[in-house]
Amino acid sequence: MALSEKLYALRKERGLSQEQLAEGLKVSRQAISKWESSQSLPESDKLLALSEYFGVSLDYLLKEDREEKGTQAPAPETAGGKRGLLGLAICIGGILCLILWGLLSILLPSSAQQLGQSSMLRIDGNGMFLIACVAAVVVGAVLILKDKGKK
Amino acid sequence: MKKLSYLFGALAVLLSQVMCAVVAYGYCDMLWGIRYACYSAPASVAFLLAIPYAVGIAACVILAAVFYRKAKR
Repeated sequence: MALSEKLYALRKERGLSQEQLAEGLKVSRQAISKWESSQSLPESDKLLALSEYFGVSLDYLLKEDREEKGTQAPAPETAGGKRGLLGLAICIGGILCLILWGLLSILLPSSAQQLGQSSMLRIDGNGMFLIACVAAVVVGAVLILKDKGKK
Repeated sequence: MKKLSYLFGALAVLLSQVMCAVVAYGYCDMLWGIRYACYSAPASVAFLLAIPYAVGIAACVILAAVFYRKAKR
């Protein structure tokens, strides 16, 4: 299959009109029409955009003897792995809680009287909260690193 | 990846700033308490507050380095 046929097939497969595809790629409808009728070839940046848009490899688009779609370069790693995302959320949540608690203890000392009672070694509500924050940061970091290690 | 590494770098810096503020505030509070409110613990106890922040900063630095390396590949 030639590039023009592949473009047509991919577009039809996804039930898109030429206008919709043109909008998605930020090109004119005429350009899509020309590509599909082999009147012109897409430029390299447009080819990249096409491969990303349809989720196929450049090889698949360009090589005429290649019928399998292959896979596009892996999706951004931030989007990969639910565990990684969960870890990221937990880790950032823990860090933000630490920052929030620090600011609260300075700006609203009544809400955090840990030092006022000179009882730093006793684990009271504040201590438990800090431990929870640290645990969240560590667990989140471990989840992220495990997820990245797998990739 | 690079954005994440910058994000964790920024969080590490922010955490270090908050840590300094919290420890300084706690230390001053302890000094005041020892002088006027009969606190029994030494003022240096305030440094214990740095522990959770130190853990957070270490985690942020490690994650920033990991993400930066991944982005470079």
